[in-house]
Amino acid sequence: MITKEIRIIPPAEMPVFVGALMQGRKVLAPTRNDDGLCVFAWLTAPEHADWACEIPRVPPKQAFLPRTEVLFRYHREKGKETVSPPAPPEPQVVLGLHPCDVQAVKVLDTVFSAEPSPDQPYLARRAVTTLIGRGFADDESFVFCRELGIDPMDNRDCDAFLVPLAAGRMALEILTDKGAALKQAYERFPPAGAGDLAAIAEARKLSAARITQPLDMAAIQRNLETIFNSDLWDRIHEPCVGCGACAFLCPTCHCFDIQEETRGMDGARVRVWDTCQFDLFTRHASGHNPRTSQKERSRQRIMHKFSYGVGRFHIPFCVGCGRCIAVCPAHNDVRQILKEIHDLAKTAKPQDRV
Amino acid sequence: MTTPKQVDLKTIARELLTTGKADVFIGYQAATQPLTAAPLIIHKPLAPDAERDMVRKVDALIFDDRCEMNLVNYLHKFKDRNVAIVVKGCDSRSVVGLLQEKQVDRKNLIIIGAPCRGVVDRRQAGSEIYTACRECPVHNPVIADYLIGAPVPQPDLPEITPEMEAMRKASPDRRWERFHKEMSKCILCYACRNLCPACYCKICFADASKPKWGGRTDDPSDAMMFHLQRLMHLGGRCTGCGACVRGCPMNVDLRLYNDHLRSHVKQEYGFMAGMDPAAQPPLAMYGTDDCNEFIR
Amino acid sequence: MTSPRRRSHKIEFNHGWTPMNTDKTTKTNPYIPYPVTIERVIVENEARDIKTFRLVFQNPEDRKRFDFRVGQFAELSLLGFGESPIGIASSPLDRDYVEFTVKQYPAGVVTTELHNAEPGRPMGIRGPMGNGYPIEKMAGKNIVIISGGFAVTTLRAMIRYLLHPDIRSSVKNITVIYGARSPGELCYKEEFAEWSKRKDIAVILTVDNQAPEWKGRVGFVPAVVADVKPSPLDAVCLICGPPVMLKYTIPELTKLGFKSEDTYLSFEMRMKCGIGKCGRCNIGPKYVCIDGPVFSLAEVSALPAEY
Repeated sequence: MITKEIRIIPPAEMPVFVGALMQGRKVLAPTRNDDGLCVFAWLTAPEHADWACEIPRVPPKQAFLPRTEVLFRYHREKGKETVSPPAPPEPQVVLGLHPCDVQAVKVLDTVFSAEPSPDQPYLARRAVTTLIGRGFADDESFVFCRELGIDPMDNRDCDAFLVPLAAGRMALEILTDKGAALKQAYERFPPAGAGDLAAIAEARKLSAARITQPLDMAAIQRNLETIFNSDLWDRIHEPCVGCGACAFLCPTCHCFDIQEETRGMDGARVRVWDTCQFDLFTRHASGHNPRTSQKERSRQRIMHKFSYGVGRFHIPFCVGCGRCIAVCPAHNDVRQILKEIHDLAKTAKPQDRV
Repeated sequence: MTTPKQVDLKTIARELLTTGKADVFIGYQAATQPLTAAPLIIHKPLAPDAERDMVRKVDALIFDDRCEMNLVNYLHKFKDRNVAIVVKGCDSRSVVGLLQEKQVDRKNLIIIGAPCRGVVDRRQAGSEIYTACRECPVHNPVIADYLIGAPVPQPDLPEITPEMEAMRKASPDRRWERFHKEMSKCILCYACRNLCPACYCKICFADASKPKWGGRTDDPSDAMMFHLQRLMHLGGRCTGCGACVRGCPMNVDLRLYNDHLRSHVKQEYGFMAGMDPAAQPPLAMYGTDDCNEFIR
Repeated sequence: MTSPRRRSHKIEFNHGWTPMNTDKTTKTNPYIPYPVTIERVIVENEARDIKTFRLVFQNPEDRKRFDFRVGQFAELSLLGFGESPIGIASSPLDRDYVEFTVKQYPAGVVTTELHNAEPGRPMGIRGPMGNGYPIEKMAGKNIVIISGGFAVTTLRAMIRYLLHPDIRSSVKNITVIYGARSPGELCYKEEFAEWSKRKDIAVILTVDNQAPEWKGRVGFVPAVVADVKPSPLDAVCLICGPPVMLKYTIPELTKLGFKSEDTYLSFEMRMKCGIGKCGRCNIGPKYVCIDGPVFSLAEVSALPAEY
């Protein structure tokens, strides 16, 4: 990605930068709530942005696919019904995205822009969003994006990117026209000097060198095709309690339900987050359920993430952020499952295929 | 009940699975994140070459202060099988609850009791034990066939905790503010419900559409409706094990409200959930000597 | 309504979804339904839980936008209640209306409300969705249509379409085998009676159980297929029915020599968005709402058995 320009923001000036971003825009940034939990939240004040957060628990997908979204409102009278679309979304910035979260946005973009019906509500929000990523030198223990080939210092697919330098300074790289449109927020800061440019290059070099043996996602997809009926799934589902924690907090999971919210003759048709882990997800009105037990549902999660997504859209539906590992109430670890899949493919039998 | 026999965890697991007395052994193993333990579900070997796998798994069994999950929640996955299960004091009360409600058959259960001083709070980097553990009245299991440790002392506890006392004395505005704040964190992932051994309905009220008991939007009222209804269903049945609180990915403080209801049940009915298999939860049955004064 | 000089409606669609008008998709919200009104409600069966709803578009241009293929479906929308994915039961050449035959399920919020509706009630439809039957593969072939129970609806649309004067000569022989539990449960009774009299289509009706006034065949659909022995030569078979019927009929077809690439069935699946976004109808790398609901038996055998 061709960098248009780079500015240096001193630590004391970050709230100034964030405050300027908030002029005429909503800003979604990592914040810490009263319990000390780090989440992506819409800022009410620039000081609330918490730069000590790496992987905020609630991912940035809420900026394009809110947990609840009004698809349209309606009013009903006898013999006549009127429908009104929601107001167009306001300009927004998502600030401080870890590069794995940026790749997750790319997964969502791929699904929601796919033919035959691009998802206009998602695309409308996406069109007015500026993504400002942020680089990380070290990761929390549950983050495994490097194993998927995602470099936590890489600025690809961002409109702007913050590289951490010494003494808390941040180098702001402006990468696209959307990034350049934030000029009034960053023009007060000095451009990067030769020393800064060298530091940035060094940070990138060090980070890239740590990606030595990424998992072969294409091989995992091929392996999964051979083990659909394996008894691996009997074992994997047993500790799973079938809640929605992993899916709701996954930055690429996007399944949703459409429901009515009605009061009298007025209401709205909304979409809300949903997950294949709930047994209601595939249950027919007749009572028939193609995925009757947690075994089928746990298998579906892994298959959709690592096989079907790759097969259909040529992109894995996992970016290695590790949120699922951090939040799973049964302490499942998807890395262990991937390892088993890798090893199992060697002993798969023909009848294990679909 | 005969005195439970003191045994070593791995020895008893190996013995029960090899002799076939247990079809399934449910215990704990170390998990990948610091200060956490995951369930370990071991099936009895059905073929000679599965024996090695069973031995390897038994070797991974642990019991220490990382073992925070309530494993009784998994019994419903193994109905009609003989199950050996490791239970702490709090978990043993959940077993009693299921026995009271005829959800499990005592003869299918081999209960491996684990006296416990409390589980460390991984969110505090292990510096403290969980609130549920500080307030626990049953460090020693109330029902067990075997014990995998010596009984531990049971500290005296206040009738009502200082936090509960403060909340009850607070103004309605303050209480609403706290309730609203907790409910605003909830994302309706249903981890709390799915972790609870007492929540075993095949189709939960939250999943019903006729009628639709509550919505799933991000308006706090939807989270409030879910939790209020679930709480009422748990009235007199919740043992306060805290599995729901520990599993919540958003740190919603459900315990405050569960505890409030539990202490009311104790006050009004003199009843503690999950202590005596022959007892009946007061809100799940009626007797001819029930209080009638409120009927005019 | 026929016009005096009508151009022949050519069969030349691609197998696969019909791309929606991109102008519409980039500018408009695909979740907003077209407003329609119920013009007519007909009770199809004795149990009175299957009804056909004739819907007319409130804006005539919407009917042109709703340009559908046989075998596609739509989401029927009732504001305040929800949506339900239902196969289109009328032919694309029935230009003034669209029909849907809907079974009411006690657990279904939308189907229950719909069954309480009367002509004049406004509602909405979103679509058309799905891939439809492989019309281009059917050109010049013998068509064998096999159906059981309530699943006949999109095949009724196919029969109406194929029997249209502009279309009939595009295919050779048409054989229809349709069975229901009892005579009262057969749908589209008048139409099937009319079609039974025609020379350009062979209609074989059957019921599971004998009934006093019934003079026709008695027997389960798989047994009737084995008895009638439709020829697989140069044939395309379209089959739609409940799982138990499919389970026993498909082996009969295989015995008769029907190829799995030339036999098509239509899936039922729980759906919500209908446009391949909400994930509900995902099986393997497919979405039933976009890549289906019509699949050949060959394609089905490559999918996980989660339907």
